[in-house]
Amino acid sequence: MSVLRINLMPAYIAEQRKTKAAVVGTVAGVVAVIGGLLGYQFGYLVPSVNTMIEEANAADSDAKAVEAIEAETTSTLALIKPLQDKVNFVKSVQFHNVLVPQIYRNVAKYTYRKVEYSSMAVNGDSLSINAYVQNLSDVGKFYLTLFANPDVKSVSISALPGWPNASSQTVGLPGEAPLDPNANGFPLQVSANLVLPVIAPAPPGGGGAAAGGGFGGMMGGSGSMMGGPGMRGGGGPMMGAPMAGGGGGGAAAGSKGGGPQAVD
Amino acid sequence: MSKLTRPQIFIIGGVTALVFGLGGYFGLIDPALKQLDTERTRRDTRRTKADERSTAERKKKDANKQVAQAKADWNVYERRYMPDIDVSNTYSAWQDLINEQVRVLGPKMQKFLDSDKSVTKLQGSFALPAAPSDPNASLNELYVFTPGGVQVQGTFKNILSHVERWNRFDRLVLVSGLTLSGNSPNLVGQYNLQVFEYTHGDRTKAVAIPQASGGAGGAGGFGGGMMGGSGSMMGGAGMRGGGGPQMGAAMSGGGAPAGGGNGVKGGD
Repeated sequence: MSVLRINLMPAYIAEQRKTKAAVVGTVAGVVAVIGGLLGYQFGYLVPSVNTMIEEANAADSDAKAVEAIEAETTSTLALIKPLQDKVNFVKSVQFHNVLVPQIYRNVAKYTYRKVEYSSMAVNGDSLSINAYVQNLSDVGKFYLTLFANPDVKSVSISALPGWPNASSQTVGLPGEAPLDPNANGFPLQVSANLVLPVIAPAPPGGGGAAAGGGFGGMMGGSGSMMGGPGMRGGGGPMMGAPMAGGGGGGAAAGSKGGGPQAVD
Repeated sequence: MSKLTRPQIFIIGGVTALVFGLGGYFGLIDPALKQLDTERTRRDTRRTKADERSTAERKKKDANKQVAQAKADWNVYERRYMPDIDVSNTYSAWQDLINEQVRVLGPKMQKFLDSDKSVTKLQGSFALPAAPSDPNASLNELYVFTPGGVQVQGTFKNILSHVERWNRFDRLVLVSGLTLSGNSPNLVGQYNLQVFEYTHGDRTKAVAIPQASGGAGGAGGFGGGMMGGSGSMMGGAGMRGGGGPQMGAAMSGGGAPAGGGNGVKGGD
């Protein structure tokens, strides 16, 4: 036989129970949320962060050791530069000491044989030559020959004669007495730009300098040099030929006849 | 509470849970996650750097080798061209510098120039300045001397060889301003010389030598006062204490009789 259960309790009592259960459930849910958050924070995140900090610190100390090595390397490499600068300076000086002679050798090599030089000088990228030619056709040949010089990138010639012809002009190097008016030749001034400028190397760093005498103008004494003996007899292609304008006319004669042309 | 309905309780609970949840996330979890990311990035970055250790050590070894090579290179030139002036010792550096300037360099250059018989020397008398009177001024790393110009006569080939020959001199010499003029075989070449001398040693280790204020100039002034017959100067006890040749000379110059006996003794 079935039993019929009849709740005779007032309805609000049942409602209160349900409400209590809802409150408990809600509080439990809130506590569960808070507990979950805290559990995640302190059970996982904080240990992970701490572990990561330890690993990062360990990596940092290793990296600092590497940086210390790199700093030592940098300071070691810094020692090289002054030494290399000094070595390079010595090499530059040695190179400079042979550079100008080599330029002169090449100039002599690339000089037309009928052209005579009385002086040569190099200043920076400029090569200056005082030359003497016998006729105008030689000028062209001289120009083309000199232009083939690998040391030279441009050549200019000045003091070419005008009209009337050279024989009636005052010939001779600047500052000198005129040559024999019957001479056929005439002097030239040649300037060329060098491919490699001649610049005296400067020492790295500073240093105490001591005074000393040097030469003044290098071109000033050309007159005395021009009249010397052995005008054609010399060895080099450049200097073997007679010089122009030596001491008042000797050069012109010398260029024709060769041999000693000493004229005071 | 009995007045609250269940939906209200659920809403309040949900809101509370949400508030705590968001607060917990943004207040605790998110900063921790960010810190975790930061530390992870730092660890990875630094680990990447730390992993370069072998490379860094290799570079260091290479650098040491390069330094050794550079030193070896420089030592070759230093032994060949440079005088032995050690600037880590002020006094010996000063002595060495004086010796180099007064006794070594000039005669050596003159001898080297004269020994080239392929050319005729027209001009080539060198002059070097006096060494510094203050030892403390002799600690430079580099000394540059300009001893003068040279003028030689010879053939084209010989003059150029003569110039290049300076590279074989046992000091570092720079030949500059070479010009040729005249005609071979009496071609004239002229040029200027500069000598570069590097010292060695660590000049920071050099101990400064104290200098008397006034130096020689002070001695001169003292003598002048004595000559003038200043009694107050002559009578001082300092006269005997000074005792140097300068004092003696000054005193014998006439100041002593006016000043008193002490001064005479000191001068003697």
